[in-house]
Amino acid sequence: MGGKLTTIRRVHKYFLLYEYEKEEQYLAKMHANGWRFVDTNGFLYTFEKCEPEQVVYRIDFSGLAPENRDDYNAMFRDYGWEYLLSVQSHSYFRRPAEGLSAEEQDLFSDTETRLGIVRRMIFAKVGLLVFLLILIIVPNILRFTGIVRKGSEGKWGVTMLITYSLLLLIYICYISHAIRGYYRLKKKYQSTQ
Amino acid sequence: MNDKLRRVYVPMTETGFYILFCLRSEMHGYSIGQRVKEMTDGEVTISAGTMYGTLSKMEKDGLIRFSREEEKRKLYIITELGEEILSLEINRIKRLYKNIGGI
Repeated sequence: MGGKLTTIRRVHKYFLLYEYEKEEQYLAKMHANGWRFVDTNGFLYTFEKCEPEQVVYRIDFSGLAPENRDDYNAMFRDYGWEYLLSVQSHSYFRRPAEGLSAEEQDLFSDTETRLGIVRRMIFAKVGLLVFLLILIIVPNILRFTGIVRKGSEGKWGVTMLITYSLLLLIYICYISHAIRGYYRLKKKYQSTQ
Repeated sequence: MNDKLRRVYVPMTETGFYILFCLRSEMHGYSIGQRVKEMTDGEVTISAGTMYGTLSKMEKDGLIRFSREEEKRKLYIITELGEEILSLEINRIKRLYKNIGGI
């Protein structure tokens, strides 16, 4: 009873959108080393000590609101998956790997539905970013460019222009990274079918 | 039936075909998967995510509809449109079979 604190382990880790397979493997590896996955917020992973076991972890992107997940969770449970938690529409599942066929270890049995989920996952995020880009970043760049040209606000205008330009750059990198990630996964799934 | 649905569903994937075929009687996702396994001697498996995704898409496109709920599980049944698409697909497969020297 007394050793409760020592049985919890927190690890800072971040996986990019399309790295969900890496994340699944990471969680499985932790479990095989005696650390059962308990919780995450996307940046911090919490584990608790357990008997080392070969367990399959899978992440799905249902896009469903929590109140609409009853039927979804019931179906996955029927299939033998233990539902763990959802973080921003990503749902985490696991099941012991022993005696399972390759199909039973997988959430998807055809390339079309697998790609559909990846597409939804990536483009939901990218869509939001593009929306913010058009709504906030681009207008501000235009606005501060105008201010700098007039020279009315001095250094402040230049600082803001640089800040927003940097944001724009980060956005563009992230978005193109995500889209490239999608096409990489697409190529991979279509070649292993 | 509109052309777009016809293009999407004819020809159908094996998964899609079996799901629609099973839903001529009311069923829920997991039981469809079990039935398909029996019908194909375990050759065709439909995993959970694929089952959920296909059912949602077919419901959205009006091929099947939600009929009732049983212990939190949604039961579906084929619609008239679904029957129409299924028979198109069955005829296509029969023709295929005939042409490769079946019946």
